[in-house]
Amino acid sequence: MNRSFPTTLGEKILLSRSGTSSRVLIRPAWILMLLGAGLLIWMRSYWIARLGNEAFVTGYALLLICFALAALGIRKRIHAFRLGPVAVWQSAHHYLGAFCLFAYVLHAGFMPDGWIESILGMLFWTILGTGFLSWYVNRNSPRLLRAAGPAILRSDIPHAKILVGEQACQLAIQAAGSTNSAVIADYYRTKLADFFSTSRPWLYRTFPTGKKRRQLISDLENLERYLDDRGKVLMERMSQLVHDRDDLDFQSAIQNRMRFCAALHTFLLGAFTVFVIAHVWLAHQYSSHW
Amino acid sequence: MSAGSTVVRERPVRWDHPLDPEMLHRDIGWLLSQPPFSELNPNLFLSHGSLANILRHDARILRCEPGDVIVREGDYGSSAFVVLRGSVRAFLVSLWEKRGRPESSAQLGIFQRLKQWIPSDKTSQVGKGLPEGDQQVLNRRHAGRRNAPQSRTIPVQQVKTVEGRSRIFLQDIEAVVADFQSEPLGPGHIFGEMAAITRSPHRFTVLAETPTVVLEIRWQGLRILRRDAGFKEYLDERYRHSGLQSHLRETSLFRFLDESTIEQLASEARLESYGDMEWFAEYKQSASQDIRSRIEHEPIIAIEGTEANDLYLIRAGFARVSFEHGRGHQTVAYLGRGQMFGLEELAQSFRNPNLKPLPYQASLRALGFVDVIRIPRGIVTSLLFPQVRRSELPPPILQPRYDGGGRVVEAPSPAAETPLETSLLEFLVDERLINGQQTMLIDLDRCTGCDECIKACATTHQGIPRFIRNGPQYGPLMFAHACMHCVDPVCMIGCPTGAIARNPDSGVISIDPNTCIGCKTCSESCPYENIVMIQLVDQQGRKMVDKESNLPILQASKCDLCQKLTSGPACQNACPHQALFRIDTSDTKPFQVWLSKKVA
Repeated sequence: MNRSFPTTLGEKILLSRSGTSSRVLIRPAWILMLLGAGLLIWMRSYWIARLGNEAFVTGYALLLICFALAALGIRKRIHAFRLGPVAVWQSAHHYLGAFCLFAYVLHAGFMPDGWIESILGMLFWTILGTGFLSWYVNRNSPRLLRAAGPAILRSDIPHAKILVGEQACQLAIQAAGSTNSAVIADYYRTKLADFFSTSRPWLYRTFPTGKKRRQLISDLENLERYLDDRGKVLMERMSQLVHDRDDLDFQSAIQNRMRFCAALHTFLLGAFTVFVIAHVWLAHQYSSHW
Repeated sequence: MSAGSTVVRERPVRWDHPLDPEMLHRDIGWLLSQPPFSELNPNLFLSHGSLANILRHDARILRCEPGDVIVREGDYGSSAFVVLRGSVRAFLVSLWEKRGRPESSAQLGIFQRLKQWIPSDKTSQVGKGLPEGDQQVLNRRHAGRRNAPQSRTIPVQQVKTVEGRSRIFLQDIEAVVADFQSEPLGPGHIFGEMAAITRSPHRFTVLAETPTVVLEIRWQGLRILRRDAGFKEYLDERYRHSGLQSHLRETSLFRFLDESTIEQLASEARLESYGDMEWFAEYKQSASQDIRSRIEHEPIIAIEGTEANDLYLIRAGFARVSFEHGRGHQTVAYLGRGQMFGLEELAQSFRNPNLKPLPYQASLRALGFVDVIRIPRGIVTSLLFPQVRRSELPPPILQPRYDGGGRVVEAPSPAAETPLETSLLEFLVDERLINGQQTMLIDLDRCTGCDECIKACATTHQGIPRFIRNGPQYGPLMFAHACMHCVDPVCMIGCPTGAIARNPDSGVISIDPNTCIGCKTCSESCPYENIVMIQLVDQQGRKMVDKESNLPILQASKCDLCQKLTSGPACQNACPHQALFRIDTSDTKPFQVWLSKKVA
């Protein structure tokens, strides 16, 4: 086999995009975008000069761009052909998204009049917003996930939570057996049992923070003065379990948030497509000339 | 017959698919009367029925025309061959200079396919444009070939179909035999067994010289035949001696040596083996031990501070280079096939013959099973070094850890010079990731856990993903549980049907679902837990159960690098964040390149 690294064009592109050489690939993308913008402005001027309706030029350009943007979703579902790495398509999707903003403003301004156009406008800005949010979340999530302990599969998280909860319960039972460490069992009953057995509130799942964990661990540390040596050991183990459970909740929240953003983006794009088709049909029906 | 949501069928068993279903009873009778089978003790094979039964299922008779390629250099071996009638030629030199393996058409892009149709005169360009020195080297290499090297034939491979199977053949066999050094092998000779036993590529090409009949024995059968002590001893002896010269010739540092020097080196060199060929069982047992005791239990090949009397050349397997650090041992590097140990120390002695020779600066330990070639210092300094360019010798050791007087206390740690961090090296060695040629690496600085890789894998493989996006982690690097298509694929040991095999063209190890009987041998052998057993289902999704025992019918499942896809591994292409890569961890260089790109 003796396959040297990297070998495929896709791998080379990906490698060239990481690190210092990333500028080499970014420059042509920006140049292409500028050329595209120039071409669109020229076509619009040309269409105006021949007394045409320039909204058709920019409208169809926008439609084409929207189809190209939607092609990423199709690419993700096709694996049988040599279509290049999804990473390259996604990168192109980001650049096209930025270009789409320019084409949209050229076509309709920031917010058009008319109810169907207004819905389209709102959908467009929402899709752009969710797209940007997805990009931001995808960019930051790896860092956040890495900070929350070892990587774990999303599908394994519920089971891992149950295991941590069971360990905490066992620890509390163990602590209850001794007078000098029973305070841990009391604390488990009043505060920790809920923490280990219930889901976190929606606010945490949207914007996860370490506030609750810090509070619980601080409370546990405050119990130290009531504990003997064995109790202190149990307290440390319980603190670790609180930490583990919080890490799992954090990982779950981050991964769900990421998926929600992507799903919302895709769903809105579907709705947008329906309205766009209606808009194109209406434009052709009621426009006096091209 | 179906029962509820399950389907009942007969469980597949070993020898359901013999190597040649058309093997005749009279052929078996004739084979048993021929050496080496006539010399084997038939009582040793009673647990498998009989010797005849083994031959019936694990062997087949091939009839070859002159020029037919029986074994091709570079292809991974899974069978040994016995010449029964006629004569074959084993070529001791490469027929295709640096040819690599020809790419299969599936791997070629559209421009490469078009290029195949354009006539090329590249064959006449060998050596052209090289510096004068290199042309001389090329000519010296051709000295092993008979007649005029300037006008030698470049053998052209062609494909024909024989009995429904594709077979490669070379035209003008007389010219090929005339131009390249070869050795005739007659009836009774065995070849190809070394590659089959060691799970490695063939080092030579064997062609049929005359109309020839050979017996192919797949290695599962060969393994059983090795129960006969005499046969085993014969194979082991051949294994130890026949490959040595070709291996020396392949070594980069020895490429300037002429044939007589190579022969002399081979006669003086000793072939030694350390560790157990079935190392994975011991590895699994010792996985829970701490690193210090694991290193101490590794078979030692050379000890630091002792006199450097030999040059060690790794022939197969891996070895750890380490030095004493406090109360333990710190890993400096790992060496794989073709790499050397002791070269720096011996070169130092060669440069300064009047000074006391330097002892070994580090220790060499076997990781699992290692085959080493040990060449004595006298031979190295008198025969090898005078013929090697000075620029190719390793740089002098300026601050040795050990000198003639023993340990030098102020010496710097060799770890400072290693290309990879010591802890990363030790991680790779301890997890035995050094065995991987296509290790799946996930960069956790980029991975969002979107599972696009898993979805792509499942879509490509009938809904069942072939890897688990989890595995050992080193900082931001995760080595996922995906088949690494190892240098030493221990999963192939013991497969009773030969269902798991390496593709001779791509080197990819895959499982043939038609011949897998679900015995779990490969899954239990894989030290990395990269092979899982899945329950078979029919097209309606109903689980299959055994007719007799009513137990589920299982099948081994592992990554096959999406061989059927022209676009390459689906997981890698599907990753939207450039987080998933395949990397060759059997060598530190690709890893180093990747890490430097990542850090930059």
